[in-house]
Amino acid sequence: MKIFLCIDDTDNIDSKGTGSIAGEIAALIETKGWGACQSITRHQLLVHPDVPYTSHNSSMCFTADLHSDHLEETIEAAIKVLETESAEGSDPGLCVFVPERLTQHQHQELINYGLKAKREVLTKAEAYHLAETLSIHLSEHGGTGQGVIGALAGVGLRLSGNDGRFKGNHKLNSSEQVVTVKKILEGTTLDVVRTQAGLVLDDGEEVTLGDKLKSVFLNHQSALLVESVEVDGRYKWQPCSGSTLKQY
Amino acid sequence: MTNIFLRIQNGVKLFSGNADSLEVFNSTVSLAENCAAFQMDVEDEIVYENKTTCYNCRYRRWNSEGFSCYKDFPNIK
Repeated sequence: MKIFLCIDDTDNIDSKGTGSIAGEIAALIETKGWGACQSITRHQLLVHPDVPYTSHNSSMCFTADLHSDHLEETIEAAIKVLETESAEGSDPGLCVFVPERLTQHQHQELINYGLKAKREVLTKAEAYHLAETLSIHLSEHGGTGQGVIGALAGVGLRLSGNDGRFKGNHKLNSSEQVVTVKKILEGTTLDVVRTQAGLVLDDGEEVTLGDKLKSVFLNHQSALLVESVEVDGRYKWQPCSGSTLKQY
Repeated sequence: MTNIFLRIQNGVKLFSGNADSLEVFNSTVSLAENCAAFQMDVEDEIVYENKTTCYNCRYRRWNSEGFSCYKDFPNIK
């Protein structure tokens, strides 16, 4: 069965990041032989004076193909990791969602909640109400437990297929600075090279790369966003700047 | 040291400006390069690769207009 697992509010200003803890949970699932995990995405939630957050208010989500008899063990193991690894003063929350158990109308409801968490200040009561209505696992593991809001929202946003950045970087094993799209796609786990406006680059297009490539989650794909820049009268493609990535 | 993009809001120093502007971005580089408290954030939060800038510092706190600093911008008067 496919599951979505999302955590939020596990860190403080000096601790390791929530992404690292999500990575530990994913590694544990695979080490135990309970299933195979996919990449982790980071989802930006509302930054507002009424929302308590450490420095950025983002949650971390991954999907996994799980052997169905290991679902409960997975949830218990994730809780244990959160309880031991979350930082002092944090308010961790965990959400585990099994899409096959819900209708697509209910999926849409969950996506709507995720999108709402990017625009509005939400409460724990709202999060628990929706989780209960949809029979989704949602639990808190310390502090105020505020992290349940972001954990539920992160699942909805990952489900949308159109939100967030992937944790980590893609490293292309090439000494060349200018590389074709074909080589980029063959040498990484990226699915597509495209512009923010939606233009998908052909295999033969050349991109001028930096050291590391960060990808975003668009149309359910891992996408390298590029932009067209003019240098000495010639146009070339290059990865979008940090301020563009920050929007995802 | 002073900085034209810093202002006080509700008693807290707030940096705001469009990071796409070279002047604004360079200002965060200058602040970070002269800051004893600067510490690179965890990888997941970095979007400006290999840059010493307040945008990449684990002590910046994003808000709707820009960011504040948990260390209160130690090199700013």
